[in-house]
Amino acid sequence: MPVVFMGMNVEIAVIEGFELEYQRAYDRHWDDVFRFALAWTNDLGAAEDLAQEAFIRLWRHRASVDWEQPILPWLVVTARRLATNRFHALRRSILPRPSRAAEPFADASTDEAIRARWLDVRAALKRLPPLERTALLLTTVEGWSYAELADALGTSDGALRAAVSRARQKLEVA
Amino acid sequence: MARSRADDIIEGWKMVAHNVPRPSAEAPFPQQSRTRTAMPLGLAAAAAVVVLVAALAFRGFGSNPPVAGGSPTASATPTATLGSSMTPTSSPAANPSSASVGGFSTSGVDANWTGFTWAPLPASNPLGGSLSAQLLVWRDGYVVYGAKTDTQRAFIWTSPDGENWRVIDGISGTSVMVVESPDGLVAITSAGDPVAPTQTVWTSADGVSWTNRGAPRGAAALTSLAGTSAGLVAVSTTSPDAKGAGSAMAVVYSTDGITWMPETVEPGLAFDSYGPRVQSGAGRFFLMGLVPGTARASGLSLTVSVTTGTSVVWWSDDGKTWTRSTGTLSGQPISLDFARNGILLHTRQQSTPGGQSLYRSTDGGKTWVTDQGFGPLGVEQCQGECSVGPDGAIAGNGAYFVAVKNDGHAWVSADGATWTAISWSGGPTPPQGMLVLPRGIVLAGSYGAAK
Repeated sequence: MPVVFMGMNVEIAVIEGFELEYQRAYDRHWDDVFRFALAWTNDLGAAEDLAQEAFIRLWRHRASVDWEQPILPWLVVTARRLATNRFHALRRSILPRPSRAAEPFADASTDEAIRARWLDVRAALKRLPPLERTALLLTTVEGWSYAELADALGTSDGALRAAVSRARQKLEVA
Repeated sequence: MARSRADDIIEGWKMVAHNVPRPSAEAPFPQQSRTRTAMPLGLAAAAAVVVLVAALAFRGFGSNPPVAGGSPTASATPTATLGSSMTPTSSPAANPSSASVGGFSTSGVDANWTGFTWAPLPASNPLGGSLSAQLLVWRDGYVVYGAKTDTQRAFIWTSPDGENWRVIDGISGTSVMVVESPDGLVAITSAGDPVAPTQTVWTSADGVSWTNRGAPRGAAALTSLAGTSAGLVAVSTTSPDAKGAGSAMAVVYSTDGITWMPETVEPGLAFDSYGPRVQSGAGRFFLMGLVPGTARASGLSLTVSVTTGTSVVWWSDDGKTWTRSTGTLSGQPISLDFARNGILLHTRQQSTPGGQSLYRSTDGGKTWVTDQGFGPLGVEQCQGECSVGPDGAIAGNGAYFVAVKNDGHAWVSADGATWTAISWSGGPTPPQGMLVLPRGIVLAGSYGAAK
C-alpha cells in the first residue's frame, strides 16, 4: 500500500495473518531446528544459518503451510533440503556471515569451557557422515523417535538404527 | 563404570547445543519479508569475504623503528612460513609496470597461475584452521587478518614477501579490521556484544610494532572500515546503543583512525541501520549501499518501511568527495574483489534470501555492468526452491581473480571478463572460504602454490 509520507514513498504493510502461528512455531521449534542443523552440519555458524533460513522459508510459505499439522517436520525437511542444495556453502563462499552466526558464543554468556569442549567434540564428530551423526545425536540426546527422524531424513527406521550403531562404534575409537 | 568415549562426546555435544543462545528473541525477518525491504543478514559482519586493498607506499615491513611512546603495545614475534612444501614454484616477479587500475601496485603478486601445487597446511599454521580472513597488500608486503571461525579469535599476520609470515601478538578481540593509513596501518578490534562492541584502535608505522590508541573518538561503533594513503573512511553507528529501532549509520572520515569526523556523501542522504559498507582498493575508496534511507519503524499493528532501496556505489580518491558510479545495480552491494584490470562487485538480492548477483567494472569502479553468469561459473542448479547464486566462488588478490566451480574446474582472469581455464588438480571443493594470497590459495586447510 504505497503512500506519501514526509515526501517519501512509503509502504505500509498491515500485519497479515499467521504471525501468531509463526511466532509460536519459532518459540517452540527454533532449538529443535538448530540442533538438527548442528548435528547435520557439525558447524555452529552453518547450523544457525540453516535454522534461520528454514524459518524464513516458513514465513514466506505461511499462507500455504497447514498450521493445523505439526510444523517441526516441515522445518526439518526444509533445513535438510537447504543443506543438501548447498545453499549454505554457496552463500558462505563469497558473502559475509551474520555476526551472530560467526560469533555464537560472543555475548555475555560466553563460556570458555564450552568453547573448548566444542572444539574437541566437533573434531570427534567430524569422523561421522551427516546421517550417522544426526541419527546418533537426535535419537540419543534430543529424544527423537527413529520413525519421526526417518520421515524427516527420507530413510528407514532400520537404516537409522544401523547408522546409530555404526556411529557409536566409530566414536569409541575416535 | 567409566563412561565410554562415545557417551563423553554425546554429552559434550549436548552441552554445546543446549547453550548456544538464540540469535534474537524475535522470530527472524517477518517485517522484512512483509515489506520487501533489505534483509539484515550479514550487514553487521564485514569479515568473511576475501578482499584486497591496494597500496602505493614505499617501504617493506620492519623497515621503520618501533613507535615511540604509547602503551600497551603489540608486536610481531614468531616467524612462520607456509612450509617448504608450499613454496611457490615460480619466482616472485616484481612487476610494477603491470599496474593499471588506479596505479595499483601488484609487485610480488605475479605467477603464471596455470595451476596449483597442493599440500596440507601444518596444524600450527593459523591459516590452516577455519578462516574468516581478508588480505591487505601494503608497501609490497601483505597483511592477512580476520578471525578464526573455530576459536572466534581475531588475528593479524604480516609478511614482507607473501611467503614468510609472522603473527602479531597482543592484539585481542573477536574481530579485527586492518587498513592502510597515511601514517602506516590502522587496526580496529572489536570485542563483546557484536551489535554494540567495545572497539580499540591500534596503529603501526611498520606493520610490526603496534600501539593501543584507545577507543575511536567521534564515532559510536565502526562497522566498516577502509583506508588508503589519503586517509580513512568508515561507516559508524550514530549512537552508542545501536540496538534501537531506526538507528542511523553515518559515513565518517579520519586521518589517523583515532579521531573521526562525519562527512556528507550527498546532500540529504541518510543511511539506516542496515548499511552501507565501505571498502578500498586500487588506491580508491568505494562506498556501497542502498539509497535513500530505508528507515523502518515497527508497531503493534503495522510496519512502515520506505520502499526505495536503490543500490548505489560511490567512489572517491580522497575519501571526502564522492561520485556515484553509473550502471544499474540490483540487490544490496556487499563486497568488492580486485584484480589488475578489473573489479567485481558482489550483491545480495533483497527479495530472495541467499540470492546473489555479480557486476564488473573495468574503469576503476566508475561504471558497472552485470554479469549474470557469474563469470565462468554459471548459476548453481538445484532442486526445489533455490536462491540464484554462482556455482562456486570467486575471489581476487589484486592481480588475478580466481573462480572455482563446485565441480572442481577453475579459471583465472585479470579483468573479470576474459577467463582462462587452469588446472584444479588436487584442489579441494567446494571452494567456500577461499583465500587468494599473492602466490597461492588457502582453502580447506590446504595451500595451493600457484604454478
